[in-house]
Amino acid sequence: MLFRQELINGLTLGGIYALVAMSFSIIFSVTKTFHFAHGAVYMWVAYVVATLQGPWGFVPALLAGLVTSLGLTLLIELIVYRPMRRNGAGGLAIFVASLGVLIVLENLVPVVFGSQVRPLNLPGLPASVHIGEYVIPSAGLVSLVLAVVVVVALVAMFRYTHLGRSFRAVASNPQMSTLVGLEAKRRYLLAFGLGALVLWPAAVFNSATTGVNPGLAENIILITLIAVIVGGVESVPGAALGGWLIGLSQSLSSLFFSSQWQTAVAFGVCIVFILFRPTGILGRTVLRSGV
Amino acid sequence: MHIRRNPRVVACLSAGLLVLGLFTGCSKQSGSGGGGGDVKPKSYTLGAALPLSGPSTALGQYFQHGIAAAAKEINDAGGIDGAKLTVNYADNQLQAAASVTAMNKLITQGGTQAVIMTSSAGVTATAPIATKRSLLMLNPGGEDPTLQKLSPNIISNIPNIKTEIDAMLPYIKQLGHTKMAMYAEGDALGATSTDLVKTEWESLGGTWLGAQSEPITVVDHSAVIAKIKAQNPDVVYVLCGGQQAGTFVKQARAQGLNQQLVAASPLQGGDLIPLAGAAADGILDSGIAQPLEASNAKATSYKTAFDALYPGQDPTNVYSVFAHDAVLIYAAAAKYLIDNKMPYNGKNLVKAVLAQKSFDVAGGTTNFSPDGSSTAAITFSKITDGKFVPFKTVQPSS
Repeated sequence: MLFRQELINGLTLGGIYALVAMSFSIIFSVTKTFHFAHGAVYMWVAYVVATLQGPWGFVPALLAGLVTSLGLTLLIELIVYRPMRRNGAGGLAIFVASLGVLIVLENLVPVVFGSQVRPLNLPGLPASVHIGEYVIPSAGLVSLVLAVVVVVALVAMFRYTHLGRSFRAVASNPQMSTLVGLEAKRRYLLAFGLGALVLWPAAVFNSATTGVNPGLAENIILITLIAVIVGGVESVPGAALGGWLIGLSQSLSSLFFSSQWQTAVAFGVCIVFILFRPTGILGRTVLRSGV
Repeated sequence: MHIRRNPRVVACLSAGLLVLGLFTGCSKQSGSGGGGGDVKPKSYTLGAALPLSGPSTALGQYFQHGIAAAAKEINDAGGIDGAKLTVNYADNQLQAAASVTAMNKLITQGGTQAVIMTSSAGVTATAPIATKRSLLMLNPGGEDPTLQKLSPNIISNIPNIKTEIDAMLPYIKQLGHTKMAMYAEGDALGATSTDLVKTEWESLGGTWLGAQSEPITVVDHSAVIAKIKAQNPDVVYVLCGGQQAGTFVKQARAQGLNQQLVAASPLQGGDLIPLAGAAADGILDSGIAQPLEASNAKATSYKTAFDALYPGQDPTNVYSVFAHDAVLIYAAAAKYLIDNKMPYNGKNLVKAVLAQKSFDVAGGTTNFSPDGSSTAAITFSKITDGKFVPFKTVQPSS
């Protein structure tokens, strides 16, 4: 029974990781921008919803979280990454700039919201769902279902829609795509927007379980990077699989090791992949399909 | 131009400058604080390492509020024998490595012969520095019973966790609980407390099912909660505070871990009730905070200063009170040096505290043992409707 409960815990935890990893991967796979500041956007969304749900009510706060996610992400693309690309900055320079944005946004949080830990409550949702003798926290269950829906939708979008094909074309060759009428800048902006859209529920549902604190950004971006590397850096479904693998590894490893080792287990899985399959789970597929 | 042409001269000059720099650096430090050897410095500087960022920020604010209130009281009353007291703060994130950085920052800022260090992990990591630099280390937050062995310079005005465990476990046993599991923060305090709880519970005839621990930065506890649930305990001892306590209790109840939860004073670190909400109701907690008696002039003075600085906020938090009292103890020690014409330095400050032994502070009277530890009565509370409601007080056994 304990094994199956840990399996459920791993899947729900992995659902959160999968959502954040996919949102990161959408941006990276299309724009090749290592958007490290994603963690800070996640934190801002969580803080906005947690802060506003009291005075405004949950739904308006939730919408404010969406506006924050989209607004901040697009703003970062427009005022940081795009000018840098225009001036010929390389991937490393953009990565460093992204790190700088992460630090600035992270340090602004205590100034704007205060440094207290805040709860984020999901009204109308029971704390947990009981299935037989197993217990699943509601927020985790919603994240799991959402992650499955999002991964299916994204794979379908990338493969079968005009937008998805244009994303792949731009990712493959931005200059050539522009020549044939697919403006790379616009597709980049759409990719950032889509990433922000997927990030939004992840920030809300995970924070409903863990609360919101000023250290949130680093924790989430660290796990996201591990999931993305394990899954395959440019593969959206790979990132989702990476998220679930890390969630399951952390949860199931607690059956054999002290829980103190959970973070080490995540890094251990990452190192194994870097050593033996550096392209990640779906890395090879990525090279072929560009998804 | 000449220097450029002659590398030897450059090397000699560089070496000379380096040696000069070392000497001036050393002399500056030994005379820092206006007080390496002065009986009465022109001003007093106290360092304080607190969690100002990360998951224990709320706890850090409690400490900071207490310290700031004490500094205000002292300075409003004319300072320490007329000399102003300044407090320098540094962020230790309640973690060992950050505490070392904070300690070094406070030292290099200059002026400090005494440092407030606010966690067991922090005290453990920085005790060797306090010994080497002969600094007084005031500990109003670290409850690991092994801390006093680390340095003769540690003065703990907060009683150690053993006092609470020794008081609470017999009470839990009396309630009829037999099978105990434990959840602890993954640091020095958690490890020591786990050994103490296990030993005490078994000596009382209880069944020990084992302990789980996690680093304080972990926010998803589902794996650990499933393990504790599978052990089928009838009581779970929780030793953690801040965000970790809030998220653990919330997730434990959500995952159906409905057994009696028992905790100690770290639970009062500040984030439990906001994060866990109604899930925290029913927890039995031991605490060391004494009520701020209206008849105690120090308590009244503290409340007045606190209200002036932080209107509308609660001055009774255990960590605010202990941090406040640590500053009063420091000020009393500094005054003792003046009265006894002893040079103002960390070593003499430690001597002054131990020579005086007893201090009347906001939380009542603090009595120190020769090793720098202190004891206090333990108050049991039950969390009801989001509040710690005291129902029993136990005097320390020794």
